[in-house]
Amino acid sequence: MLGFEQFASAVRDLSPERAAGIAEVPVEQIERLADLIGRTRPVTLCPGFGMQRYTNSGQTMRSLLALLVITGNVGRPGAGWAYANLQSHIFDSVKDPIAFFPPTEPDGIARVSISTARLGRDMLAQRDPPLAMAWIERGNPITQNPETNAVLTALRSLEFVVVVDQFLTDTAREADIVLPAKTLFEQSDVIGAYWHPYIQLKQKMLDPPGEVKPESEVYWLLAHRLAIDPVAIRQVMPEPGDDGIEAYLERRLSAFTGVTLARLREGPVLAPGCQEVAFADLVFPTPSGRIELWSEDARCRWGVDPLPSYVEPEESLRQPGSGGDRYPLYLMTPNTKNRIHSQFNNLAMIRQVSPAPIAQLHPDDARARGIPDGGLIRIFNDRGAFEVTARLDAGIRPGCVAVANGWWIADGAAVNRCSLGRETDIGYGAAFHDTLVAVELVE
Amino acid sequence: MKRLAFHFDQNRCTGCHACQLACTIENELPLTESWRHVVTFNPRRRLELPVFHLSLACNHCAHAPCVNACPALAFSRDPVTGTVLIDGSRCIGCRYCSWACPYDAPRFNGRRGLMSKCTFCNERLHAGLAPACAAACPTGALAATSLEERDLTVRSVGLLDGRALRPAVSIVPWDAAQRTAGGGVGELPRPGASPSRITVQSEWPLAAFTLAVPTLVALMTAQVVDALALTIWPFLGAALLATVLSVSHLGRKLGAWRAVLGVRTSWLSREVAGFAAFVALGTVRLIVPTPPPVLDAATLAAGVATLVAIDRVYRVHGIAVTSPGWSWHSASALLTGILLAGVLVRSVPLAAAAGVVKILLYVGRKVARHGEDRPLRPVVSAMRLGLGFVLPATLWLSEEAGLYWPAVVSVLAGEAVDRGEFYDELEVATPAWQMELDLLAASRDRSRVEEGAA
Repeated sequence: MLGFEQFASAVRDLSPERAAGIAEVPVEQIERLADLIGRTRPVTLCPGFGMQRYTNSGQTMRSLLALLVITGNVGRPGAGWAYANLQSHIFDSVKDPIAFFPPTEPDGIARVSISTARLGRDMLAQRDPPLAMAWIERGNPITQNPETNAVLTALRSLEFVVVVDQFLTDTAREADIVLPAKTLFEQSDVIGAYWHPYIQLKQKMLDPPGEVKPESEVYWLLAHRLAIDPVAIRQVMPEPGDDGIEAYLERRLSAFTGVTLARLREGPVLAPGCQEVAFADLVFPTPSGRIELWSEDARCRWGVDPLPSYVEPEESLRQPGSGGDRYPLYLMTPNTKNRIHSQFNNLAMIRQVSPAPIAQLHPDDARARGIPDGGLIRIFNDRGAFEVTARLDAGIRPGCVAVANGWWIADGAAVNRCSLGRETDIGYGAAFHDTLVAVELVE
Repeated sequence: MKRLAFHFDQNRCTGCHACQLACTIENELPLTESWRHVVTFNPRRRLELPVFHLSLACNHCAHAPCVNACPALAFSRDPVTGTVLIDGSRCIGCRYCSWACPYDAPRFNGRRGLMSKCTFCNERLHAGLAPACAAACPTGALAATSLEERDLTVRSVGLLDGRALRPAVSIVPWDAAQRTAGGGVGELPRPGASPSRITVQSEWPLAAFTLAVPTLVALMTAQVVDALALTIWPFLGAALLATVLSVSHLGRKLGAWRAVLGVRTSWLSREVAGFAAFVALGTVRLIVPTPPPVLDAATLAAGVATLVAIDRVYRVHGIAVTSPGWSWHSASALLTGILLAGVLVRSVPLAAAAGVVKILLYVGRKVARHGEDRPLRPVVSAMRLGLGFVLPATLWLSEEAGLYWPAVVSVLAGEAVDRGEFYDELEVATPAWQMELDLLAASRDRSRVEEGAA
């Protein structure tokens, strides 16, 4: 591996005492965890998706991966890293706009001028030419992208907005035209997954109701209306109708040996080229082909320390000038088991178990602010505010307030009112959890 | 012998509520009226105590208290699956089954005015399928399996001990050996009242009825011993009013006649039948110019039987005892009947004896409840004792003839206060509420352990 010596000397400077000061976890617990990881064979870490929502998440991920590497937990059965497994995402290149608009910068780094994380600000910043219209589908950016108020401002400054959705979401309410969207049950597709490496056929179960058209058919019709060369259209789009979809999928699958629609109808298929034990051959997709604890690539592409290291998040109580004096609580906006982001939140069936938004608050933090269990509180910072019912919860870390993301503005708790459009250090993610707020009881 | 039963493992349940939603979907229930509910122990996640769940619907008890309690014979049992079923066309919506059930299984459907509950997905069972809730459980925490009677264990946090009912459920309790985080132990507030509890606001017609009946029985007693001259119309009028009040709380008022059908097992039916007999006999007794002694005896016997039945109605599994260790409440209809009879017959010894018993029961209960951190309500207590005993005793013993009837009214007012308190103190045991009480107890145990260690 590259950079072990440098990494070892960096680690020597990072004592458990210093880590305890940052993590606010007792030294004994850090040492016990280190002992457990050091003595256990094999170790798999399952980091989940929450940790990626900080400005320093890329470096944090690299640090955890380094821990696995230096303890020998790589390339062996049962050892490794259980994170989004994208081996089954064989159609990503088909779907990604970058496939149609390759990067133009000489360094070969893909950059987009409108970042997901900074959606509102970046839309407003477009000058050459300014943005005039938006076509929005499969998303609810007003509640789900950072900085809801900026996204709202950006959408309202456009001349024309089309939203394709099944419901009148907060985003759909901003549209000039809402096109009714099909559901996942109304068109066949070939799908992968985050948490397993299998490819599956998702079979159409019923026809779209009324005048609903699948998005692929909407594009097909629009493209013809725009007088694009029909031959070119046929090359990139499925023809309308079930047969057209199946022919399109079959054509795309032909790039992979052994994967056909007929085979997928029998059951899931392991992704082509899937490694059952990741990196069992100890060959790595790095410039050196080795494990790189020291990565020049990381420095060049992302501008981070070549070694995995701790960087204070941009908005933190330990970061002077980031607002901690006025906004002393961290706002966490995790996902909830009751829905997928803002999807399904409007279903009466789900409301049965999740009727209204709540903010989980540690009893000590609540007591300090005179907030009773069930009291209406206002969560706010310079960027925005929202009101929600407090639920005292001793399982929440003191100093944090947590509200599940996905509530609509109409529900009163659009959590991204308070977040800032800012990217993570690596990977263009949105740093949702780098958000300091204050909380007060609504009189 | 093997029985089909729900099997629930608290160590496997993640509290995802899929069972609850599957129930509403399968049975096409209004979304707020699922027959299955998941309740969580320690929902505020106090670090020193574990967090776990309990998913419950109907346990289809072999000795089902709902079946015996039903006055309208609305319940039946499937001979093959053992499932306890409610026939909606027979149910009169009296809600008595929901009081009798300690598992909160029968639920009142306000729109239809009827009770409904888990059917074990009986049709699915006959088709060889698992109940929808068990089929939807993603972790294997909930299943429907055939189990030996001796393997059915129903001990769990959140459940009253219901072994006598022989419920068809087996619960693997939370493994207490699993570690909790430890840490600070703060005082928990006492949980609020059980949400489906009986209150004097919701049950005032019953409170009025159960006060009217002892009054009528006492009046009839005074009549029989010639202590006063009762006439037919006030008697019938009062009886009719009491009947209208008691019918008014039924979900399906036109089915009220069915309320006597369950007389073989239901104390509620016996109460209704006894009252009907008392009013019928009493009417004849007041019409006949010279009633034979056997008619007097039969009328009073029917009255006393009704009072006994009224008191027994509230001794069912699902109603938590108002104060532990006291099977008699000072507002008991029978005791009230005796007290009022003593007053109306103008027998000081009888009235005093009943009064003393009532005062002892009342004060004893208040002391016991105070020990349980329940509200004292000194004003209400002062009214109950002042109006019920002190004022009437003073008026009566003054021997001013004009003060006798005000004294009677004062006694009745005191009894009304006590009867109101009786309904207010009744708690219908629900697993969710029991869970809160158990949490409080667990947190106090834990505090004691911490103090002992320190």
